[in-house]
Amino acid sequence: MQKFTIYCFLYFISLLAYCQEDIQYTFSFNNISLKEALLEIDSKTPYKLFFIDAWVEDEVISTTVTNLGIDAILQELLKETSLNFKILDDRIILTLGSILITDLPEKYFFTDSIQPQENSETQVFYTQISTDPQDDIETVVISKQKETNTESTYSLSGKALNAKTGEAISSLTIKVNGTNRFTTTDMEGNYSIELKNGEHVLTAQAMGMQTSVIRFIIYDDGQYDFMLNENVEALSDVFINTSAQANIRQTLAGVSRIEVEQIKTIPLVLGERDILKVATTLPGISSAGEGAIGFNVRGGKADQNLFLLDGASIYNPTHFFGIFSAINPFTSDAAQIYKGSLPAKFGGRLASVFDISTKEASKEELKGEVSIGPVTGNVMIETPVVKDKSSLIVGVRATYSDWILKNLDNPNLKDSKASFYDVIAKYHHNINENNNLSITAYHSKDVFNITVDSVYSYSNTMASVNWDRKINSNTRSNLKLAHSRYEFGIEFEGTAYNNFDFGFDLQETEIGYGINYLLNKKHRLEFGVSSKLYTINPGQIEPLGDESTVIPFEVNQERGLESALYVSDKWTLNENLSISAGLRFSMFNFLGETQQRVYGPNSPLTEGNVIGVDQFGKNEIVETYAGPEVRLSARYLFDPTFSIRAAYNSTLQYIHTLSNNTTASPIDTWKLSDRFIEPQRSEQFSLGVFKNLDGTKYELSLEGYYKNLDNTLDYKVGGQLILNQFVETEVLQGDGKAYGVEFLLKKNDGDLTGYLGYSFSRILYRLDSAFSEERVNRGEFFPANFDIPHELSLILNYKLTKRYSLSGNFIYQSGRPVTFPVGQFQEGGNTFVVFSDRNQFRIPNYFRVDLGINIEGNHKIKKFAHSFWNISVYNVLGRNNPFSTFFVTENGEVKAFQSSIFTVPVPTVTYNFRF
Amino acid sequence: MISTLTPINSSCIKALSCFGIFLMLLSCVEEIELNTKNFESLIVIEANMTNEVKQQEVNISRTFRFEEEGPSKETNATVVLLADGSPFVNFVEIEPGRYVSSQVFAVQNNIEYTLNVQTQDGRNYTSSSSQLPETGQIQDIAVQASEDSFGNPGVSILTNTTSNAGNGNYYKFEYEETYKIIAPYWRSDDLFPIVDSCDFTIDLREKEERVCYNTVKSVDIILANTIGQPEGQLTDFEARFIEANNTIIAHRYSILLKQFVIPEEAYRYFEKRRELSIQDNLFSQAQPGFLEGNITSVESPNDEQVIGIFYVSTVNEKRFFFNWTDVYLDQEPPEIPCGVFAPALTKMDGNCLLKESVTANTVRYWGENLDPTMNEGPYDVVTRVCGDCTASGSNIVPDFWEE
Repeated sequence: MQKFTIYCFLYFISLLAYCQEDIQYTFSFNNISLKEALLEIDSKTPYKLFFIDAWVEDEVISTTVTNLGIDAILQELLKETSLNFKILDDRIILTLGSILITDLPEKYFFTDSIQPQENSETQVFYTQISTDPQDDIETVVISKQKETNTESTYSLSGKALNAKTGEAISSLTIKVNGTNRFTTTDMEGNYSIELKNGEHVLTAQAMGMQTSVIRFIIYDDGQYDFMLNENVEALSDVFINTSAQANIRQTLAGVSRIEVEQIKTIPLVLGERDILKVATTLPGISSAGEGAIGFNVRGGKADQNLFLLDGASIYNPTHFFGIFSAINPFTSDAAQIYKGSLPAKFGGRLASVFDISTKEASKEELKGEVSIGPVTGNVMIETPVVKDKSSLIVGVRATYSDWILKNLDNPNLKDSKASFYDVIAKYHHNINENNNLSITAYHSKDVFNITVDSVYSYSNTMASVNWDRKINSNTRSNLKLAHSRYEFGIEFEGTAYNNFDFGFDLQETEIGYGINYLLNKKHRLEFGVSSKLYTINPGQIEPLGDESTVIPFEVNQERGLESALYVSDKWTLNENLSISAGLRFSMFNFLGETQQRVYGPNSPLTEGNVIGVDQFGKNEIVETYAGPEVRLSARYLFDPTFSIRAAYNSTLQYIHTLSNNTTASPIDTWKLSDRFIEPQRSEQFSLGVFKNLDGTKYELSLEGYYKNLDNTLDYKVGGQLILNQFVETEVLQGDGKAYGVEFLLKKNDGDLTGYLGYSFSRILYRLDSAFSEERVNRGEFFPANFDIPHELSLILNYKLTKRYSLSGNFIYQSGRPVTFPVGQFQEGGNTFVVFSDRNQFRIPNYFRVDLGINIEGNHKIKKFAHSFWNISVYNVLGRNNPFSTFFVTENGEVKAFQSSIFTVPVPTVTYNFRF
Repeated sequence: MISTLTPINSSCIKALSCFGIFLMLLSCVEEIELNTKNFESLIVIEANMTNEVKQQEVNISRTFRFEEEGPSKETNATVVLLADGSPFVNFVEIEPGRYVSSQVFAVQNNIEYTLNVQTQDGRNYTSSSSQLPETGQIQDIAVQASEDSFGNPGVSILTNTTSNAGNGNYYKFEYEETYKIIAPYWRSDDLFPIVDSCDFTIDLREKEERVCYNTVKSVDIILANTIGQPEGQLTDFEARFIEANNTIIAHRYSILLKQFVIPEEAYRYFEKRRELSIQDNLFSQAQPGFLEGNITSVESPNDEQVIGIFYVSTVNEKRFFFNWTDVYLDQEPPEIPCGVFAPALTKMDGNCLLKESVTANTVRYWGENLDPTMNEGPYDVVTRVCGDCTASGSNIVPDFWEE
């Protein structure tokens, strides 16, 4: 009787009409368990009964049935239980149906599911009744017991919910296997699909959630709620989602999403989990080298990226010359990176938006995470403030390098400084069902010295308030107030007489209001308005100490107001075609109080050509720039696993960094567009194809783009950009073009996960003018400093056991362009070099391999903390990858040097625990 | 105001010295060999005419390869200085590439000077015009103990200057430094080789070899400005820093400081030239490129790159002396590192050993080796620089020298 006591079996009910022969039986059960009764029926009739022991063990029966059909006998036996049954040929399947039935609305549905385990019995059983044999598929029957339905199609509807949190899952794709028919859930997680009567296998998938495949046998209109689990299994395996939505379905082109939780196994230098470093392994996002701050997105300059942390700008999201990012990995939730289509609500930078969101802290319990690495310590605490109502998350990260330096014997290093910290706090408050308030505050600071007499420091400070309101079921609004500040300073204390304190300071205050309105099933509108006031103190110098003879000097403050109106419509024409059309109209006013020079007509902007100076009073408009920015993208879905997207995007940028370095640096000042410096402009055309294979196991994408750039900024050789009141004399504006192809293959499932990214990209600038001093390379196109044609990243994680995994990065980049000396000459008795055309040569190619082992603590539920060890070696091959070359005249002789940042393998152990 | 900025740029040097513990250990700066690729020969013209009455000078050379020792000179050029557009004076070549005015003159106020050069292959170059700026006066020079930006001890030579300019001036400093050298292992006698022998006689030296003087011209670009300073004064400007372990200040040191008041255009040029020639921060490299001066090719102004700048300037100079003991009372001066050794007279093969060094003028006698070991000879010697000051200077006391 072993076959009757299976522990777990597939439940199935069919209404396929099947006329039983009307054989009658007589049984007498006297105070025996239902199980025994059923076993008796099983043995004394031709029927085989299927049930789970637990359902029937506790029921005690005393009854006698006389000359009844099997149907009636079972009805009698089960009438006091929650059990239901179905007779299929000679098999009788018992179900725990009535519990569900009692919960049903007027059109009840009948659903239950028991995952089959590897039990041959059930499978045999299953295959016998299935017309489309598939293993491991849950089956749901939607039917009426009154077997009277004659309609040929029925409607299945319901919600998709996160099984853990109960939150609705939007943009879930529900596909009817074997057909091209599918539907998606709306913002509230609702869906509805028409199905012919009979059997269908539906696949429901959303990124970050476990894919659910369910067989429906449908004989009536019904409801079914997909309860999806978060992709727990994949959490440590899948590093990056192309998007929170299925990569195939979204309308916007060139969007990547990085979930912080999913990058912890990627080995990074000195063990810091780093959302922005991981971003650079994606095709289309690169950095100019190990010691370069800033990111280059599709040929964009470092200052063309907008970094938003909970809606407020961060001007320099890096620590330590870009070796670490200043975004605390433990408090961050995810980064959404827009490198192709920019939603119309974003603007002000040409190349990309990094929209980084902070986690919402748990409102139920105290949680935390602590990490101890060789350079930094990091603590994150989440706590409810008012239970179920409001919560706070706080993250603090700091270096102990200063402490290490102080304890060294080396007197040269004792006075050195190299430290940073960042602090973030976010408060979230559910005011009521329809109103949410969140407040974020952030501060980061770096202090370091390069020589003993000068201390450099820089800091970001920001605060933002977001009020999200659900006006009605179709309309949501967001009111944002944000303030951010970027400062840097240099304190020089050498010989007393020229000691100084130099400072730069930038502040912006933004207010924005946006509405998201679901007009109908086909149109989702977003519109809003925002305005941002910039205040920049471009530089001031003050004497330091009493003996200093430095004369205080300050470059006039700059102020500007950037405002924008935007509207966009996500238009779903049909299941296959959707269009996102946005228009942003931005306007920039450069405001007084200031003075602006007047230069002679048709002459270069030099001191010698000044013919006058105009004075402007406070808030007087000096110059206005305005223009439309078009954000258009379209997607066509060939089937749920294959789509094509095209986009056109234009952007304007009114704030620029001034830098005559080949790579970005934290002491680059920012400058607003003024009478002479026109806003930078960009337009991008992009096209991509996206394909998923084997469910979402493999994701493939191929994207191409072409960009036109206008009014890009560059600087005269050796130009003085700091403390220069009339910086326009050093600025060149040119144009540029960028183009490239990006390929990404991801494997999301299995023991081996990871991705392979390759990009071919070029970025060329042209600086041409009628005046030779404003021309570079004879006015021809030349590669930008960060023009890296080939870039290949392979990021892999191999899971050995549930607790151990191995990971590795393989990074290859073409060397970036450099300007090399092509000869030397003597002047004033000293020898100097003559340089080639700008960026005529390249430094050697970059190649690096990192390896790591990740050890998860064991998963005992009652354990206080969950620990995670990461042991990694950065640059395992110890390859000396040159970062820059430079040429020095020392004692009348020219010398060439090459610098590299990480020249040896860097081993790291990081310990991390979560509670 | 820009003068005070100099440290911002120049202190980015030596990034490695102390940038964080781990980076220091992990990063590396290595010297690489320079090979000439895509070499193009460009003309280099240097011309600074001053308000000093003298034969003014123009130097013309060409760029050269890294494999070459020095520049090739541009000879047989025709060099003409124009005053307010009319030819004013011709220059004659006195040695290859060096041209001096055919007559002495001083640059005058309120005249626009222009330089024209025609090379022997017929190419013409012309400068933009330059006018004499205001004058400035070196008021005094002082010396004080200090440290450089890396914390190395040394002496700062500081100057105060005044000017008649209401709006401030742009300054370029040059100097000639002369210092006394005293050979630490000098004695009055020396070894004189005996013919047909490996041995020597000991006799009095024939010339002064104990106290010498050496003069060196500055090559670094030293700039300052007083723009925006109402009094137009430079106060305690560090014109020269010498590390305390440099033997040039071990005894007595003199500096002839020349202060040129130069036009802004020239100042910007030199400022950028200097910027392009100093070492960079490890993390950010200044964008190098071609630095355009004010001289252009007449035939192909857009394509031919010309290096150099022509400018007129006012000059003022002052000499200053100091002794080691003026700065450091309790500290011993640095010494040339010297060792005493006693080479054998003959080699294993019988040829003379010490005689070779004496004849090659690389050693000086220091005494008898009274207790020679097996491989040693009878005479203690020192390297020439330790016993003979003429190895690093001249034994003629300069005219201007004051004790």
